[in-house]
Amino acid sequence: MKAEIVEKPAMLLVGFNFFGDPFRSYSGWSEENEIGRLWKRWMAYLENVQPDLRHVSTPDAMVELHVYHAETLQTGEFEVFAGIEVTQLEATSPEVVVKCLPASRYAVFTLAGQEITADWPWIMDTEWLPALGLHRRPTFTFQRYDARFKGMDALEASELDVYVPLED
Amino acid sequence: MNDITGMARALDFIEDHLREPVGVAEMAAAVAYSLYHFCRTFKAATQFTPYDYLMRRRIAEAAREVLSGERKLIDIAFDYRFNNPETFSRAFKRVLGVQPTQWRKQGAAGDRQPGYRQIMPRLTAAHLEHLRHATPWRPMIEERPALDLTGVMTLGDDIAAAWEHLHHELAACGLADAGRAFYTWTWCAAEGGVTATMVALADSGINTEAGALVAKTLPARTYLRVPHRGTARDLALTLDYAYHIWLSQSDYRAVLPWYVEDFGATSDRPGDGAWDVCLPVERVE
Repeated sequence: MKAEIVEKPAMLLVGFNFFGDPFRSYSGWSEENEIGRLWKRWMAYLENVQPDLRHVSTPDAMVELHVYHAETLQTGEFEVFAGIEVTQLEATSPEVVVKCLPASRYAVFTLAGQEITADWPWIMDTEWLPALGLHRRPTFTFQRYDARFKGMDALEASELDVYVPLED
Repeated sequence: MNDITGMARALDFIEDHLREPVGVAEMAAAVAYSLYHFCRTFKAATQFTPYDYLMRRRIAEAAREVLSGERKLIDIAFDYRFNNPETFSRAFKRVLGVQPTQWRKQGAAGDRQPGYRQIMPRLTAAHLEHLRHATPWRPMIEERPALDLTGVMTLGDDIAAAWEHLHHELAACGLADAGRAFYTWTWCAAEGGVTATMVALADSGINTEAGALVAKTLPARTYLRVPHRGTARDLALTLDYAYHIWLSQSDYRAVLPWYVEDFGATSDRPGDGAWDVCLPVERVE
């Protein structure tokens, strides 16, 4: 696992989301759980509508954002958003959701191979961040998937970056 | 710590906190998982989301207290962390199909425990081990034709003696066991109550007049068929899976206080191995 601290300006994301327990119907690392279905919906939308989606900042990079709401700690339900970063907003279809992430300092952890499916959020909270003397804002995290991520069936050859917003 | 051990500890933690204001994040932290990984692993291990399991266990324990009839419903509701009687009643009806008042009334009216086999038991490490193997078994809802059984009826749990006697009776009638389909029919209407079991074969042509054999016809109806794999001792785990895990999250419910074990044609006495358990069910409207 590699780590670095970066400053990022405010980010604009467009994509699809859902709120709930993503494992309600299926628990595995499979496209059949709610997160897998979300990605399927979003990728199908991108394939069909992307020509209308202008101002995409990095077309080869996708973002999976996890947002903790007020009831998340009680019920385990949270918001998952799958989307793409854009440089400015434009009129989009009603099903598209817009997320504005504030400018922030982030810890960026690069996960490789089996680290991707391990319980890295626990390791991050109990080992990585304390070792760096950092505290995260418990509001959201996002994972950035680019050309280095080859898919769940090619995990050993894959990498992805996890962005964790830090307390000032 | 593997996932089964971790989730078994989570189940213990939940049991210890049924009356406490505990959330899923605390369950996760108690067993050293992140919230995300805990939700995924708990669902994989138990087939329930952690919050759903917590609520079902609270309702189950509350339901037992409602049946005892000694305490006010509102006190029971508050004990199990329901903020008001309406929330309690809604959750109660969602899980058990009736309001708490009706549940108490049914319990006071007769000796048959209402909703027996609906009260979610505490899951244990043994359930999790069993579920780990049960996942590919795929229970099926099916329409089964009427079944004519002839066999030996017994009370209690000495089923081995009943099988012995069945084979003795069949031999006395000059009937060979080989190639015949064997069944048990088991009736139990209340937790810890009397159990009646009939060990039998599918045959309506046997003369039951002289010996100890009895006949019973099960009418054609809808069943949940659950494959059982393991020993007869594991049957309770398969029944818990069928009644409390599969059915409780399906559009069907158990309707009668009995089930059938279908051993198929066997050349030996049914025992360890693989057979089907069939529960009479109906679709919930």
